[in-house]
Amino acid sequence: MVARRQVGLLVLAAALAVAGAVALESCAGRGGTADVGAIARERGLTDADIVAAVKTYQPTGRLDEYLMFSSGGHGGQVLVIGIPSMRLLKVIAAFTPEPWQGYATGADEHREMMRRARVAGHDITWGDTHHPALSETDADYDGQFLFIGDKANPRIAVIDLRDFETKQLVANPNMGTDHGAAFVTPNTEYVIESSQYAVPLWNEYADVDRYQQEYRGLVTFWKFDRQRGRVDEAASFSIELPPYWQDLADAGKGPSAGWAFINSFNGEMATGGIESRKPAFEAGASQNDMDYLHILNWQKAAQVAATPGRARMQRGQRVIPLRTAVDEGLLFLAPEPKSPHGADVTPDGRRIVVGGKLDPHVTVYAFEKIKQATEQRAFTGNDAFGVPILDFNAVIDGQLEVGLGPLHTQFDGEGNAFTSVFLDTKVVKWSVEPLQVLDEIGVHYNVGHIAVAEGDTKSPDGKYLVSLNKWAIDRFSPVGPLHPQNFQLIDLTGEKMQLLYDMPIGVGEPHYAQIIKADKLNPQLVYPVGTSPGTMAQARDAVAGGQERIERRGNEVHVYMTAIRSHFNPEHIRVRQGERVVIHITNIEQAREATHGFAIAKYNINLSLEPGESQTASFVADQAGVFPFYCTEFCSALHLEMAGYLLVEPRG
Amino acid sequence: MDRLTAFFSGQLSPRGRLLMVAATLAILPSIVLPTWTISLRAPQYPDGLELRIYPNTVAGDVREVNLLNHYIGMHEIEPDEFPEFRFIPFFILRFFGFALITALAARMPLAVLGWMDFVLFGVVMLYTMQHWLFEYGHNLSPDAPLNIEPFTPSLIGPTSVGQFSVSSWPASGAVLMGVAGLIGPIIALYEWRRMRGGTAAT
Repeated sequence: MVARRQVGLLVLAAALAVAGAVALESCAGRGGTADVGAIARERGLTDADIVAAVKTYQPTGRLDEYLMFSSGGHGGQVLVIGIPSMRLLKVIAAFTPEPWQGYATGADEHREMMRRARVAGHDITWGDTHHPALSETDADYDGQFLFIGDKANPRIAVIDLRDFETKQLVANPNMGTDHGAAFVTPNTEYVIESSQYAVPLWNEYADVDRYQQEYRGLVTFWKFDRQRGRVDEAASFSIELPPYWQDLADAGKGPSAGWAFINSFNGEMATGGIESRKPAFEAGASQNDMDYLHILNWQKAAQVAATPGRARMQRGQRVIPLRTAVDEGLLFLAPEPKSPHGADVTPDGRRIVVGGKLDPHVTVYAFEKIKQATEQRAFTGNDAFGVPILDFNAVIDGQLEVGLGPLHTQFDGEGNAFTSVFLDTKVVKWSVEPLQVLDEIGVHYNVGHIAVAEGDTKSPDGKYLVSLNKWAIDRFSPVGPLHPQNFQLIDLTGEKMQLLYDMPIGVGEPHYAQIIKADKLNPQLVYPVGTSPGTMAQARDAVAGGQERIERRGNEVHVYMTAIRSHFNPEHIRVRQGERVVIHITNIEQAREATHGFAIAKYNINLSLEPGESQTASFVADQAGVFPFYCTEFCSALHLEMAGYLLVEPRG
Repeated sequence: MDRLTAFFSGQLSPRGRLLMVAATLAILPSIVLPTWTISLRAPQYPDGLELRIYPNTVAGDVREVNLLNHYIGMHEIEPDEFPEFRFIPFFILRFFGFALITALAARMPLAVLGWMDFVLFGVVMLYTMQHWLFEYGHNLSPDAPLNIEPFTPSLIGPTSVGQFSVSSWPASGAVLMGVAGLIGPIIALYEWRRMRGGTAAT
C-alpha cells in the first residue's frame, strides 16, 4: 500500500518535473536540476508528449486564457472548463437541483423558478442540456449571459454571467422536445429554440396515424430583454414548421443577419412502429438522399408576428401558422444531404456549412445565391406543405468529401473550417475557399460536436479546438460500465493539428460547447450585502448585522438570521409542530470566498450563501424533535462550531 | 545672548517665508490623506488586508479585520468610538492656518510657537496610537474562541499574530506632516546663518 502510494507520488512528481523542467529550459540559459530526458524515458514519454504537457500545464496561480462553457447533457447542468489546462472550474446548475450551489434544495426563489418551469403538470427535476449559447453583441461574444436548451422538457435556461447562476427557466408550451436550442441572433435580440420530435401543435392529441395532418415542428424566437436579463415570453413568437425533425440552428450574421438556418432529418416523415413490423425510425427516417435545410427570415417574421391577426395564440404563445409563413416569404427549404447534423454559418456570414452525417460531404451553401433565389422565386417546387424548395445546385458553392459521418463545423480566423467526423472518429481541417482538405487528426472516440476558441463568432481566435467525444473506451482507468466522456484538447497553432490533452467528463454527457476569451468575463467576486441573486438587487428580507430577530405572525415564524464566521444568529429557533417556518438568512460577509452553507438536518434543506447573499427558505415544521442546523461550507477554523438547533415542540 | 533674542524675535526673510508657504502646502493635503497604514498578510489572503488610518476615520478592510479579531476576542474597531477623530482634522486645519499667518506676518516668534505646537501634537498623536495599539492587544475578551497572550502591535514595523504578519507604517499624510515638521528646523537654520552672515558683513 505504502509502496504503491510512493510510486504514485513519484509518477506525479515526475510529471510535474517534466513540465517544470521543460518550461525552465525554454527560459533560455536557466538550467533546471531535474533531468527531463531521464524522467521522460522512465515514463515513456515522447517529445510530442512533453510539448503537449508544456503547452497545457498551468503552474499554481496561473489563470487560463479561455473558458469553455459546455453542456452537461442529461446531467442538466453547464460545465465551465479552463483552457488550455482543461481544469473543471465550475458546474452551473441549470435544470437539475444541485446542493453545493444550494440550487433548488430549499431556497424559495428556486422553488418559484422551478414552479414556473413546470411542464405538463409535472415538477421536472432534471434536464437534458444540449447547446449553450453565449450572448452576443455584433456577432461576437460579450460575456454577459449564457443560454442553454433542455431537449427533454423543451425549456431554455438563462444564466447571468455576473454570478454564473441560473436566473430563469422558460418552458415552451408548444413543443414535444427541442434540439436546436439555444442559439442567439447577432445582438441577442432573440434566443432561438427549435423543436426536434414533432408533436400535434393545434390539438392536444392526435394519433401518430395523423402525423402529416396534425404533427408539426416549431421554432420559437424568445425575445431577450438584456436590461432585465430575462426572456420576455409575451414579446416572443414562434413559427409553425413541417413535421420534419428539425435539428440544429444557427443565426446568420453580417450579410446574412436577420436570417436563421435550421437543418432537419426525417424528411421522409417516417412514423416508426417496429413492433408492428413497420420500418424503425432509424431506417424509415434515413431513406431519402436529401433532407431540408430550413431558411428563415426572422427579422421579417418578427414584423409579421407583431401584425394583428397574422399570428395565432396557441397555449399562450404567438405562433405564425405555416401557411402564413409561406405566404409572407418567411420560410424556404433547400435540399441537404443526408440526415445532417449541424448548420454552421461562416464567420463572414456569407456561407452556411452543413455536415452530411449519412453523406461523406460537407455542403457549403452561399447565402448570396440563396437570397437571389428567394428574391427571384427560383424554386424547383414545393414540399407537401407548400413550402418553396430552392434548387440545390443553384444555392451551393460546392461540396467537399471529409469522411464518414461529418457532423459539426467550427472556424478559425484564417478562412479554415474544422468538421467533426463521427464514424471515422476524426476532426478534419479544410479551407472554405478553395474547398480542400488540409489536415485531419484522429480523436478518441466518436466525436460529436467540436468547439474552436470563439469559433462560431464573426472573429474566431482559432488556437485551440476541443473535440467532445462521446466515447472514451480505453482512455481512462476503468470506473465501471458507465464511462466518462472524453474532451480532447487539440492545438491549432501549427501546420498540423496536435492532440494535447484528454479530460474525462464524469458528470454528464455533453453535447455542444463554446469557448470564450477569459478577459471578456468580469464576474462579481462577492455580492453587495443583502443581495438576492434572483433579482441581483437588495432582498426584501435581507438582515443586517444587529437586526437578527424572530417574529411570530399567526401560524408563521419568521426568522431573520445572519451568517458570519463562525456563527449563525440566532442559534436557537423554537417553533411548535405544524407551524410554518420562514428563514430569511443573509451572509453579511464581504470577504472573497467567505461562503456559508445552511443545512437543516432531516428537513431536506441546504442553502449556499455566498458573501453578501440573502435567501429565504420556508417549510412546515411537520416533524417534532430537535434538528441541528449547521454550515455546510467549510468556512473557517471554527466551521464545525457554526451550528444551531431547530427545536420543534410536539403538538400539545 | 542678544543674538539669540534677536533671532527669536526677528523677521522671516523672503526665503524663510517661502519655506513657510511650503510647510502650509505640505500640511493641507494631509487632512484627506491616510496617516498610517497597517497591513496584514496571511497565506489565505494573497492580496493581504489593509487598515488605513485617516485623520478622521479608519478605512480599508475594517470589516474583515474585525471579523478575524473576534476570534481572539479583540474589541471591534469602530471609528466612531475614537474621540480623536473628531478633532484631529481641526488641529491640522489650525496648523495650516497658523503656518499661513506666519508666512504672511513673517514673524519668527510665531514660527517658533507654531512649530513647537505642531511637534507636541505629533508626539501626543504617536503616543495615543501606541496607547490604542496596547489597549486593543491587551483588552482581549476571556470568552473568545482563541486565547492568545496579550500583545502590542508595533507602531512602526512588523508584528506577528497567529498566522498573520502585521506591518504598520506611516502613510502619505504622516510623511507630509513629517516634511512640514522638518521645514521648521530648516527655516531656523537658514535664518540663523543668514543673521550671522548679516552681522559678519556689518
